[in-house]
Amino acid sequence: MIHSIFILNSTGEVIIEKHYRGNTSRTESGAFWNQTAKSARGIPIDAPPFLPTPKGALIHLHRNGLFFLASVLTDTQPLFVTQFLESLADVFVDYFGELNEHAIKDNFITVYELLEEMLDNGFPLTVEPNTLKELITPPSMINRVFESLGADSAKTATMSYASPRTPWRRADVKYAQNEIFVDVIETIHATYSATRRNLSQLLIAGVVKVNSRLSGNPDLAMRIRANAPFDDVALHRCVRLNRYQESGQLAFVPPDGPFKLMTYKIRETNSLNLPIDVQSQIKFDHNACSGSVSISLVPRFASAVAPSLSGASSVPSGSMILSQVMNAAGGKAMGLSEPDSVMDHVSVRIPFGTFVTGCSLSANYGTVQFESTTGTCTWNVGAVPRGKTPSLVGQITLQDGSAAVAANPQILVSFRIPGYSTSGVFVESLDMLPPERYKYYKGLRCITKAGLYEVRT
Amino acid sequence: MAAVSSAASAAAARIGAALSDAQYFESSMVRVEDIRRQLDSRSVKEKLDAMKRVVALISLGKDASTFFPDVVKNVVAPSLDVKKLVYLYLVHYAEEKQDLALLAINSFQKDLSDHNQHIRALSLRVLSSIRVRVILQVVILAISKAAKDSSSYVRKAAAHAIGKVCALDSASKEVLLEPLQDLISDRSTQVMGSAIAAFEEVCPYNFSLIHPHYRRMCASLADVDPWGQITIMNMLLRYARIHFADPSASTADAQRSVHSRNSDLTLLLTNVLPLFYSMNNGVVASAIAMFYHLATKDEFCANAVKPLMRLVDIEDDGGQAVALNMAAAVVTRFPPALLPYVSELYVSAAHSAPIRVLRMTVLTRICAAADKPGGIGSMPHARRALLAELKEYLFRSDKDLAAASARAIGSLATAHPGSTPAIVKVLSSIVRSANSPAVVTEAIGVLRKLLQRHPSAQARALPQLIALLLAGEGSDRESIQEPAARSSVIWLIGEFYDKVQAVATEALRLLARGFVNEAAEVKLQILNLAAKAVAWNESARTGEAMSPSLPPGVPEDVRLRLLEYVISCAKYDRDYDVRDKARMFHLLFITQTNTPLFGTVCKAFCARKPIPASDDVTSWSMNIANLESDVVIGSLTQVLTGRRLAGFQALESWAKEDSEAALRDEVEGGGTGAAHNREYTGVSSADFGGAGTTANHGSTVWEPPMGISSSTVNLTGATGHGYNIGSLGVDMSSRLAGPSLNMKNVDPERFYESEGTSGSSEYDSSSEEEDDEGAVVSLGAQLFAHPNPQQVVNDLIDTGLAERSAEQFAPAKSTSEYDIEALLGSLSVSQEKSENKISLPDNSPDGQERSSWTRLVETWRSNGLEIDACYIRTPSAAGSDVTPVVLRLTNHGNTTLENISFSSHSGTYFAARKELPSLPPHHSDEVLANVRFRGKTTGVQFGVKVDAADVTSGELKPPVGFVVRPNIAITPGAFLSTEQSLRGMFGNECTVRLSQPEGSDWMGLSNLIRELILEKCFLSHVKTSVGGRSAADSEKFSIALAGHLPTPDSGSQGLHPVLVRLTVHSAQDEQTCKCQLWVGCEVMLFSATLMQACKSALVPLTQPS
Repeated sequence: MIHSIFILNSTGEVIIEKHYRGNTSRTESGAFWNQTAKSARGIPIDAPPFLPTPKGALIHLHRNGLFFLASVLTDTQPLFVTQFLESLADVFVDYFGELNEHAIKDNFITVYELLEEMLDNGFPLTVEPNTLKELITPPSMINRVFESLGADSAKTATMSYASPRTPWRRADVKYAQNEIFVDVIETIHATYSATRRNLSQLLIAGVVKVNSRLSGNPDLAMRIRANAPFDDVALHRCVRLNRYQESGQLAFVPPDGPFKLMTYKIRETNSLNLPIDVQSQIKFDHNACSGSVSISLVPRFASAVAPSLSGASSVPSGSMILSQVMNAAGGKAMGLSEPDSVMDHVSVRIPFGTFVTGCSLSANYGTVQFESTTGTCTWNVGAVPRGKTPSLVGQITLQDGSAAVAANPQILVSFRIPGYSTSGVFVESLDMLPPERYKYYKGLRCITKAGLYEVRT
Repeated sequence: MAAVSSAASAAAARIGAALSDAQYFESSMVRVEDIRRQLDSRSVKEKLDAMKRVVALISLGKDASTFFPDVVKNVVAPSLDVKKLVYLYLVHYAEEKQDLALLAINSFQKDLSDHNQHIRALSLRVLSSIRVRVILQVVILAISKAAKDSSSYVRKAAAHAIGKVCALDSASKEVLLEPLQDLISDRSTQVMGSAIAAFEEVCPYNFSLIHPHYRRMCASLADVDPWGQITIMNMLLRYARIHFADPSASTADAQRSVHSRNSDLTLLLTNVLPLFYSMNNGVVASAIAMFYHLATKDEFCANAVKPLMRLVDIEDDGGQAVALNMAAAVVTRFPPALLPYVSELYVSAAHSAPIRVLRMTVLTRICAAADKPGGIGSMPHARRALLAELKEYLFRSDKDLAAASARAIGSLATAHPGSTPAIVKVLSSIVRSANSPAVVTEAIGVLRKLLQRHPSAQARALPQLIALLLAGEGSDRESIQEPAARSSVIWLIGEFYDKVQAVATEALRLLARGFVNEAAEVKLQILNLAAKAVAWNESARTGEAMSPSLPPGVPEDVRLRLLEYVISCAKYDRDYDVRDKARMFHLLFITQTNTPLFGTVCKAFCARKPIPASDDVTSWSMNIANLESDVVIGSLTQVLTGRRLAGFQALESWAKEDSEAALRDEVEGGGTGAAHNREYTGVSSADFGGAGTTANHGSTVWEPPMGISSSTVNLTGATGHGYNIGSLGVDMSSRLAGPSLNMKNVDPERFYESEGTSGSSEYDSSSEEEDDEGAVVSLGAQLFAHPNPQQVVNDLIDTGLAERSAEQFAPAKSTSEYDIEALLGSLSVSQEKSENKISLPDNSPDGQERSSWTRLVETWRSNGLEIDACYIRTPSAAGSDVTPVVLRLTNHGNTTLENISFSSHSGTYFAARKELPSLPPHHSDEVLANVRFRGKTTGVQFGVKVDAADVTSGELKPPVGFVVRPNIAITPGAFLSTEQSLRGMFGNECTVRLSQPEGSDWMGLSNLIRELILEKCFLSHVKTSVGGRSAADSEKFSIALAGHLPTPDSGSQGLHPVLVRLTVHSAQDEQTCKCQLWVGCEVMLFSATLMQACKSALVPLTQPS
């Protein structure tokens, strides 16, 4: 049971508060903030995830500089709470298009309405986005203008709970243009030693996101495969589980709009290669109280290998757009700075520790920042054009008397490669089953991201 | 062109800003009057704007409660937008402004019957959220109605409302059991989760509500929404532990135990399996907990481990922390489970501090469980990989991580001695690199423990360490530099000198040579080592050494000379500690060698130091393991390391044997009375366990007391009544101290209430004697009093004769004359006797009633004076709005109390008719008092004086039935016309299902119903019309009752008519009949409360459904 929900901005100020079982004082959120500020590295992220209070506990979720804080006074499953806070954040993104302090303040009435509708007595009431949208209209300019003119907005809280068999789908969906987009986002977790060249961990976690804009009650069947077997699969509740277990086919009536269809893991990584190799050399010269750093990122993937929607013959209806086309289009939509770059959002972080007092590093791409309180060096590379190898070289200064400290720093790399899949995942087929019969557009896109990509020196 | 477009976009931005709601946050300088004016405005836009301002004030943390009266008015606003904000505001402030909040109740009630399901649910949600006790009855009524709503959305809201009401007033649990039961039986999967959430909050151990639905719940688990799945699994976990025996306890063989397992438990686990595929992490965590606590090891490893690793992968710290806590528990219980995924538990620099600690905890536990079957000790490859990884952490700049890693390595060595050499090597290397003193200390500590525990390792490890210590002397290897590390190693050498004598002596020689260049703390240890060398030698010579196997080889004088040399070096050291120690050793070992002191000193030096008792790693994990035995993994309690919040439900240990499978058979359509009876008696003991705090009761108490249930049936006979006793058990269970339902323990008052009709026979026999006389007197009295005698006679014929005939038809039933006797009989008495002398004879018709005393003042509060109150059925001469109360004063003290008088508090009316001149010890006396309750049940205070000094005070809280006064003057015609005017808005209606009377004795039933109602509520009987208007009509009879409600209002002398009508229809199924209960009163709050009272009066007759 969630007793109260607070939304705090990045400076710890309460923007929204809502109580479900009697009011909880704001001092609790203050206590949370004090604890957060006290946390080890002075980074809010280091705050203990579960903070005991005199009567209960505070559970928080940190998203885009906002803190979603739930006060719990009775024994509750903590994941129930964090998962709800996540759903809350997702719904806000869905409603307001973005999630930040401004968006919350700008739509605070809608936020309160959502909080009222999503929780009752601390228990989730309506969380399914499709149902929520029938109860509370997402804010739009038109509604605001209506409101400012004094007209009661066109809100009619008529709920036509869809069929009880598909409670996740809105009833009577109609689109002039029917389309469905499938995004496969793969996250690579890798830990390896740059000097000894041994890999201590490699794991791929993928998520299949679908944005369905299809009329009626479409019944879809999809087959998705990769070079290695999917190890651990979680499915959206719309997927018929026994069909999946029998044949590996994903059969589902999708919710309207964006949703996560499936997550998977690939552990059998013998056939897989790391897309980026980090070559690094960090040496400390204790006598001179300095050290030398040299890091270069070498792309190891051939090119943006397009995952393909294969087997056009097996698709009886609907227009087939090859994903190659989609990649380019999708890439633009995601806001790539350079059209011909192969990877973007590249950054490298080296948390040396406080014994490093300064650095003079230069890079051929991007900018370098050094934060002296934590001794962390951040190299923001940004987008990297095709065929280039970004590198960083320079000197660092050590604290006096830290001669004996020979800690091996780790290099944390993050990047994004649009249109590339490490596991070679591809959608074999995507069909619509009768009785719905209309033409629709299918799009597929693939992105590989770095998760925990740690290189040890 | 560009300028134009930029200007246009700037304009658009301005408009956007004006339209955006963020402005309400910025405009902090709002004037209160402005908002008030806007709220009063007729324009929806203005109202909405004002409400947004008010809500923004709340959001900013400012007190906006001053607007309460203005906001409440807008609750009737036609705009849904405004309404929602008003509701939001109400919920926030209603608790503070209870009186004003009542103004909004009518609007809620209207909305409760709106045709739009969303509005219905919304109003119920808000009504139940505003936390005002006064309206609880209204809320309860609304819940019962909503629980039967056609919309599952409204029913869901009803389930949530049950929890809210119980949180506010736990006494209403009893009343809410019925709607709760309806909701639990609900077929809609949308309602199930919320119903179970309410169950968990209201009566978490009342499993009799669950039994018939257990199998259905298991089967439809996959169709419930994720939040419901979590709640239901949490409940079913406890259910399974309480009702099934441990499958692994009976047979050691896992395979066979699966087959011998209760089929219902297997059903549950089979249906949990698909939930591992859920996208909702909470569901996955609950499913893992189910398997952890209910399934066998093989089942757990095959199904739950991968999902657990999925949770460990959660990006958010909170989620990951829970998963790691679960993983720590899993490792301790099933050591091999996580071994294939150890690499996913590694610590990265990207992890936050709390996550790093938790990951190290899991890795440490994997190490500590190395010796368990299937532990990492038996997998050389995995073990080496893990050790390499832990070694990696030793060199991190995060000191806490490095220290934790050293501890983990230590526990691996403890659990798996085979890897000791490798570990010594790793630890030696950290000592060499001397990352930081803390880490070195940790490593040395671990090494020391290792060497002390495993003497076999000493011979190998010590030379290694010595080599490290002395490296640099001619070799190119890096030596230990840090003084702290050097001194620690030297201490270790000295400690195990006897094991590596030759090497150690050589080391001492080399150290002595470089003595001058060492740091002070190293010098001290070198001195120690030199002294120990001599001491060992001496002990060996005198044969007192603990280790007699000191090999010869190093000549005795070498050691002595080394010591002398070191002492002479140290004597002139700069550090005075070193100088002091050198002088002391000089005295002890060189000049005093022939005294007995020397031997003692040697013994002291060579004594084996005890192995540090606090082997923190393992003992710590043992503690956690113990702590977790009754904690569900992944629960908040586990995550907060054992802190138990309110509502914590300890995990029960397995039942001794499976409960009967027949218990979980689905009951068709309400089932037989006997079956229900058993169910409910079962409840009583189970619920008791819930009220108790210790979990240990679990296994002994849960078995359904079958014997008791059958005795209950015998006791009460009729099916309907059996049910009632059962429900009595439910509420009693929280009071009873014993686990079984023993009639001796039953609170007499409660028992009386529930026994209802059959229990009143005592009273009947006494009243019958006075029957005729009383009736005649009363008839006469009424004839004189009433302006229209003819009407009264008609009424009496109407009512009285019908009852007479009823009595003849149903001789077995008790008398039905109760109401009229009670009413008229007492009326006559009160008119005959003078006010001050009123003393009601014990055998008067209300004598029975006076057994229901309520204690007002306890002895200990007032020098032994005890006061009880009893509400009597006497119209007071002081006015129709006055309720007479008999106060019984008993002196339990030792002194005579004199001049006892009463006083009323300001604003209330409380008048005692007389004073008591004296009350000797152990005597009691009665006083009649008149009280004006003014239509409220909130209570009236009064003071008690003895000898003009305030002694104590009491409070009279009337039951709702005694706030209303009977209206004996009303005619059936007047009743009808008043009923017409009250129907609709002021009425409250509900339907109760009653068991059909045996042999279609409708007359008997009508008497029974009237009797039950009148016993609870002080109304007068107007008319009982028998039979429907047509033959086809199912209506059997209709009872009309009337009364007044005195209120402070001046209108119509402050008396509001109160009408009650009960109409009974026969139902199709021959088993039940439908009783429509209608209560009408202009004071709506009261009518709702009264209806609830009437309804509860009918409980003995209700048909279990």
